[in-house]
Amino acid sequence: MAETDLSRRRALQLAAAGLGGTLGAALGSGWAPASLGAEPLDGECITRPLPDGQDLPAIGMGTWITFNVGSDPEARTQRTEVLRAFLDAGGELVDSSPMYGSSEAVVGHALAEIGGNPPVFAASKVWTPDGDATAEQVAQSERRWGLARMDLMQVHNLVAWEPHLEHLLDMREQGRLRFVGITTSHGRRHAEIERIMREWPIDFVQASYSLANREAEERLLPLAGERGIAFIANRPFQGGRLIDRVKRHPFPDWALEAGLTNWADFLLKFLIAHPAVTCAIPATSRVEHMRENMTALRGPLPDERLRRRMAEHLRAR
Amino acid sequence: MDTWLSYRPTDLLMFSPGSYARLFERLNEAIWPGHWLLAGLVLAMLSLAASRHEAAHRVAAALLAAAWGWVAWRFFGLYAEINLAAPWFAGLFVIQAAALLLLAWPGPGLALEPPAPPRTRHWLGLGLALWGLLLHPFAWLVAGRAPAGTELVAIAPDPTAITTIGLLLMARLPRRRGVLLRGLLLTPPAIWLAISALTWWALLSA
Ligand SMILES: NC(=O)c1ccc[n+]([C@@H]2O[C@H](COP(=O)([O-])OP(=O)(O)OC[C@H]3O[C@@H](n4cnc5c(N)ncnc54)[C@H](OP(=O)(O)O)[C@@H]3O)[C@@H](O)[C@H]2O)c1
Repeated sequence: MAETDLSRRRALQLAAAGLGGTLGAALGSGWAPASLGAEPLDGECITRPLPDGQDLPAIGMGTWITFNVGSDPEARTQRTEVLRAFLDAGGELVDSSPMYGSSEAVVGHALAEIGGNPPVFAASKVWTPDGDATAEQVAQSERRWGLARMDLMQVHNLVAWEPHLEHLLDMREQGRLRFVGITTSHGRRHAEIERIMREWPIDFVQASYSLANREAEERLLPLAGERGIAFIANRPFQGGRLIDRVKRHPFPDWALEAGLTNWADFLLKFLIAHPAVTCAIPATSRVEHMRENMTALRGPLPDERLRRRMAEHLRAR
Repeated sequence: MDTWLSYRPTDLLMFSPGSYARLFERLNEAIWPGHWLLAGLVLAMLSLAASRHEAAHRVAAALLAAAWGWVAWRFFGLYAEINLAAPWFAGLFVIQAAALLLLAWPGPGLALEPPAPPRTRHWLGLGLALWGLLLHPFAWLVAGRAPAGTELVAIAPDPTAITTIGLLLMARLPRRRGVLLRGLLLTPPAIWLAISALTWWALLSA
């Protein structure tokens, strides 16, 4: 994937979508969205520019817990359908980590099952206290995903971040990686993340950001915007707790009128409407939830006034 | 808001309740009809332990050790696919298997000869053993798991640990250092049950 020209791929994809999936194959991209006939997706995907100027669809997919199903053939087949629904809806960025058990291998299996070289933006992590094992972990991810090159490798939760970052940046220099990043999910590491964002030439930063946890808006997001660092919002549903909570309430009419279609759409569009957010990465183990989540990749984004209303509405729940 | 506050117990686990339950289904499916052989071995172990021959007691302890070794290899081998900590848990089961082998030899073996009348410890042991052997698998069926997903002694770690604690409470151990020996042998199954209880607490809070 990494070597392919992203915009050409997207053009092919859209052409393929328009012609029911046959054109893409005919043009030689191999992969073509299969189920678009069943569920027509209107409108252009919302994309965000990457540090190299190419575009990335603003909804990605996480794999923590949801894709950790080991060698279970039944569960693997089901997760393949989840990934297929994601790709069919125009998603690209898939985020995983060696910390997520079998998730990387399960993603690799699903990609092989789907076949045809789908346009995945492969994002994984380096997660080991051994600062010399960076290249080994990158190679392990490539093997597990079945890809020749990862698009993005992030230092997971800042574990041994200094040596890993040095090695990853070297690898990027040599063309063995497209992008380098760091991740956290704990507020108390934000100061350290900020320092790294200022002092190191990283491309991506990943931190928790949801309608119920907006701490990233204070420093990380403005800094990412200022320095042109792509921002990935993890735990957009607070690990499921937030979406479970809001789904107990009726969807507000004013949100429907504003073009939002369901609660997943509501929670995710709020995030990707922030000008410094590149991508939000909800995780799910269910096709119907994936379809719901991917509605956030299309349609109008809320403006600042609407975002305020959305936040107030949620605070009142 | 501190992000830590947004975490709940399930976030401590790296797998879903469904994936954990599938382990038992998959394992039972994989070894069926080996269940009959395992049941035969468990019955043999119990009757050897209840006999009056020292050699039989040694074989009983060795069979119980084998059950721990088999669970370490087979169950935790599968569990390791979805839990990075599983090899550590397997290590605990290997330690218990080794301790039970030492009980088999040079120790006196596993002898179930309660005094008459039995003491509270023996009754408690009998209750736990019956729970591990019979009630535990049955409870899973009542809780709604399919028969293929139930947890059986010598296959799943919980009933194996519960049954072992029961048998050790009933066992006759040498007067000298008997308390220490029993305490040491009870430690790994007790640690496992604590880990399992934490896991279930997190899974059930999902
Ligand atoms: N430090 C780090 O690097 C770090 C830390 C945290 C997270 N992450 C990344 O961020 C990703 C997302 O975070 P997360 O997985 O922790 O939490 P999340 O995406 O906020 O929530 C996932 C949960 O939401 C549920 N869900 C998803 N879509 C839904 C829908 N439409 N309706 C109802 N429920 C829905 C899922 O259950 P179902 O399966 O039932 O749909 C799942 O339990 C992770 O998977 C991981 O890739 C990285």
